[in-house]
Amino acid sequence: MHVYREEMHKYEYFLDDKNSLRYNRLEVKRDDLHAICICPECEEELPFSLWRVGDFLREKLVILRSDDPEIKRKGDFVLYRGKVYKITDDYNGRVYKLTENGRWLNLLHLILVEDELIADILGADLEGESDA
Amino acid sequence: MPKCPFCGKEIEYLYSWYQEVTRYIVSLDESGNIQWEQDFVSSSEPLDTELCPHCDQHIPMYDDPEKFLKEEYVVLRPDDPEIEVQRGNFVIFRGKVYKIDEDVSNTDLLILRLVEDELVADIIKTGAENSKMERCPNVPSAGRR
Repeated sequence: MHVYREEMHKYEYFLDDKNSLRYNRLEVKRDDLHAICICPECEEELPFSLWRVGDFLREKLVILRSDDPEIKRKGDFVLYRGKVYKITDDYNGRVYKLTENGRWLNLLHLILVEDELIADILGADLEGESDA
Repeated sequence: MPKCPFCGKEIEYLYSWYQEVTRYIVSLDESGNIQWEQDFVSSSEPLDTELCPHCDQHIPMYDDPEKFLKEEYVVLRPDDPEIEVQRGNFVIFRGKVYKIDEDVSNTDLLILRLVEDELVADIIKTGAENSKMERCPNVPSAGRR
């Protein structure tokens, strides 16, 4: 994943032993509120905050189109690639490409159900639903 | 070593703040930890530049900062005690001859550029020193001799 981060860099410049100008970066102040996460393939902005990056990469947070063929949905739960997720958001949202105007998509925000027992019960239910 | 015209302290280095948008490649390593790899800087805008490390004041820079650090470009208050002589557009500061850049100097700050031509500098220096001596009450002036 690509992350564009707004940062303030402090540089010092000085003369070295050979009397040539040298630069050093002394300090970086990062502004995580102005960071955006981008898909490296399609360059669409991923709709979550920087602090969710780890969850997204670990597939604890999944964002899918609501018509994604890999999902089996029942109520607020979804079976996706063998794992059970709870839908935390289901909306028609605008997504942006770095260089283009935004477009509207129906998106689901999913959070992994980490309790194995609950996941097994819901998983069996969702599997049964699709088999029926 | 150059001096700050505001706090008067010697300056070993200048510093600047830039606002940059940096692209990172973010991934998980084999242990599942997040890895940040700086990819490139997509934009860079100066915020506060050429600041004194002692008083944080911006030093007016109408030339390359390298010249400031080499004392080829000097910024001084007009009443700086190290100004030995000021004669017309020329100033002797720390034994070197500088020309006042009148386009950017004002009543608060003098912007000086080193006179690099040695012959010209010597002529100005000699002239300035002679006039200083003439003004000295302990030295008989040319007219009284």
